[in-house]
Amino acid sequence: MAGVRVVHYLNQFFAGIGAEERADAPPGAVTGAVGPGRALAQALGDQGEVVATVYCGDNYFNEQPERATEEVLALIEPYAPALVVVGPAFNAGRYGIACGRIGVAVQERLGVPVVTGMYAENPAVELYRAQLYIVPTGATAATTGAAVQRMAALGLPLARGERPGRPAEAGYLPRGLRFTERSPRSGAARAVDLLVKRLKGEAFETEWPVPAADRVPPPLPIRDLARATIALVTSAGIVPLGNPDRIESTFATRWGKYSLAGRDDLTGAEWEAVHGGYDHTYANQDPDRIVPVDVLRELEARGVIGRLYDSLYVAVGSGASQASARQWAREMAAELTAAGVDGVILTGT
Amino acid sequence: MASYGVRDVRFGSPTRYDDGVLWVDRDELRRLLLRSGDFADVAIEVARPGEAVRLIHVVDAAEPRYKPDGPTDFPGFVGPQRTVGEGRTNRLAGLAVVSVGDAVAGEPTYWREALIDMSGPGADATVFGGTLNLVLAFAPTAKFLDASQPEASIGHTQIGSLVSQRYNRSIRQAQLEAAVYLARTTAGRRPDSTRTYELTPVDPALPRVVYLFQVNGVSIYADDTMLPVPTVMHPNEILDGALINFQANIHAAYRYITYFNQNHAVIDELYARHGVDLNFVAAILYPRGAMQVEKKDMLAEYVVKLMRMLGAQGACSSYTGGGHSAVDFMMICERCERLGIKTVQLMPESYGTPDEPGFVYYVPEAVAIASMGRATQEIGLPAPARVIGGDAFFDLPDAPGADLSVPYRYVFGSCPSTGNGYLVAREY
Amino acid sequence: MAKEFERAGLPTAFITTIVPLAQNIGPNRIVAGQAVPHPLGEPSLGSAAEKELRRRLVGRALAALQADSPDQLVLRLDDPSASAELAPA
Repeated sequence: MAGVRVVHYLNQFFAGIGAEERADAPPGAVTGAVGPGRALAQALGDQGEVVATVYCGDNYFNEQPERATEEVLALIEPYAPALVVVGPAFNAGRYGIACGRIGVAVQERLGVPVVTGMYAENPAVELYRAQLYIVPTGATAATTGAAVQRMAALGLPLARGERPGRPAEAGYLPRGLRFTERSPRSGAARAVDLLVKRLKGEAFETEWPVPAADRVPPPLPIRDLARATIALVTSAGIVPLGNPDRIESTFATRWGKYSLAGRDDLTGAEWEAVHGGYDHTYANQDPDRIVPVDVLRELEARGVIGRLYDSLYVAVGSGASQASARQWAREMAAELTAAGVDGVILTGT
Repeated sequence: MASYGVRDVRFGSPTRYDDGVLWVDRDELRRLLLRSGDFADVAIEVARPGEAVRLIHVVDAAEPRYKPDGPTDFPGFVGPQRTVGEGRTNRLAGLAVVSVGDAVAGEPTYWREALIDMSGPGADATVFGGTLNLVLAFAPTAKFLDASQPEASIGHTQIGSLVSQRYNRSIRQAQLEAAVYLARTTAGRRPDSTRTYELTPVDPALPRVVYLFQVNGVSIYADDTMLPVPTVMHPNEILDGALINFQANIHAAYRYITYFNQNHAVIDELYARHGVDLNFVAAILYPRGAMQVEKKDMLAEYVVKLMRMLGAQGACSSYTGGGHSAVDFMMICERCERLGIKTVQLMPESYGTPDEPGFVYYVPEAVAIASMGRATQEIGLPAPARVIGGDAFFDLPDAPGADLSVPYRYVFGSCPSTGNGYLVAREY
Repeated sequence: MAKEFERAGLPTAFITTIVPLAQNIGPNRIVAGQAVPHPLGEPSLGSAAEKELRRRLVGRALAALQADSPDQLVLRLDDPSASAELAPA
């Protein structure tokens, strides 16, 4: 009985190339299983075989993700796998992002099913959960054994073209995808059942959870505005004329940061709107209508605020997934707090 | 409610109900329906479960019913305007009168397309894949097709021109006349079963439950204007023909279909539990609110005030679908829950990914939702042998007789918030 | 995006036209913008009047950044208090 051909992707550390100092290692491949791949091979038993291990340094990948993905795909493809296992990445953010990107590329470009494993709080989970089967793992490699067991158990049926069961039973993180099925009971029967349970004070479960409230406690206010540094951020896509960073007008994949040094206002001669979701006419006539540099400079000159931060942070919110927008904002926030900014004015449509 | 089960429908004279078979004098019925002068023709066909038949351009469906002791049938359409919900009603069970037909001048069609497959996966997706369907295929007279007449202009883009409103009314009229005509075959006969719907006094300790019915596209006692304020109705009125669909330009999956009002599944379930687990008190109907935020507050407060006057402790709440409706629907849930009124919501879903979970609007208090299925999900519908209702879809590029892959929202009656369907969406 | 800034501890004033949505899924400090294509502008006014409108909106945003309240705030230009002190949402 031929086993399922599996290619395993690892980062430089788990592939045994080296630790953080080799995070810039370019992609490479070796035959057979390496590191945690051996545990994976055991978990696959005689139903599957790790024919090769492909690896890449986490920094190499994250600094040039498109090129790295191409290179990794080119290394995977010749092995003609029926299943690609990426990671597990546990709680490692850069590794998780690499796993996510590669996993999606393998599914879309090679048409091969993919299984990965991550700790539930790995930031890559939010970005990729809807597109990949992510097995929940512990936070560290100490949980490798259990993780690869579950990954093998989920991956083998996937390789055979079977659709997995529900997340809790099949052992993957809920992808937030909702599929319509036929129930043996009518909608009314289920609804009234729920009502009776609630009236009796019994435990019940909604069939359609609303998104979690996620209210963030308000950060402390600015106490001394006259000494405060205020940063301007916009999700309305105001960029230097010509859009040098090629921020897309919808479903954007990147954000930009532009110098306001020496500028007392923004003009249509030097700036333009690229956000696809609104009429640009007014913004192009006077971009201060979106990003009020003119007023903030006045206030700075008058001493009402301490200063306007030198950099303008720009994103395009149109069509952006909430996960992407959150990721961009996290990155911007890290820079802003490191720079000692005291408050942010964010403008949107 | 006296039920007479129908196991087959056949054409033959005279029209009669005999040993579970309904015989229909096709010519006589056709002449009856043409009397209004609004139809150039009405083709009458039978579509049976399991047949490789697809119905398209479905408008509405009704169950054959009549009240042998009066006071009226389908008030304002067939019989005089009298209150219904009391006394005997005879129903032909297992049979639906289904109206299909093309659009007329000034009739919006962007949400009008509706289909029923009588076999295959499509049949499993709707109750109407399992009913014997007597299909009335209406063709309008020329006056309804003249787009140049002033009354063919579209005043309201969702409801359409005056011409199309009149025509739609005419279709409902004819459909309901057919429903009564057929049900009259039960006169003097013994039913297979009877059931009494009565809000009997029950143990006062049982929790008081109200059914909240957000309505759209239904006429109440033949009046199709939007309710000016929320109103209390006896659930029997809903079951007994007071609520008739008049608007076909609403997604087929959750359009309020006359047949589902007559066979309202939530009302049915609440009655089944009345005196056992709960005290079913009343139904409150309310329109989807206005576009301004202040009026939405007023609407939600009005509903909750009626709930308080009724002493409600629990509610089942149906969602009509759509954006503005979602805000009112959720605001009412929020206010009820904050008053301690336990609310269960019935909702068809859309979208269905983490980035687009499908809620137009939601409140954290919406903790108990029964899913009616995700209407945006695609279903594969294999080509039928025969199509009834038209030559081309309104807004799908495929030929009606082809293999299709369409969202559930095109399948008539697939995700109704009256709870009559069997679809649910689950997370994967 | 505003909530991520808040999570990092940065007081953030979000100027947006679509206030109900921001109230639902957005941050604590919201300022109602003028219109979708020009949240801090009003082309129908002359340029001096428009600039004054922008000053007032920025003033609301700065007031929000200084507001010390556990509740979500929505500040609008037409709030009764002309000195742009705080009114709860």
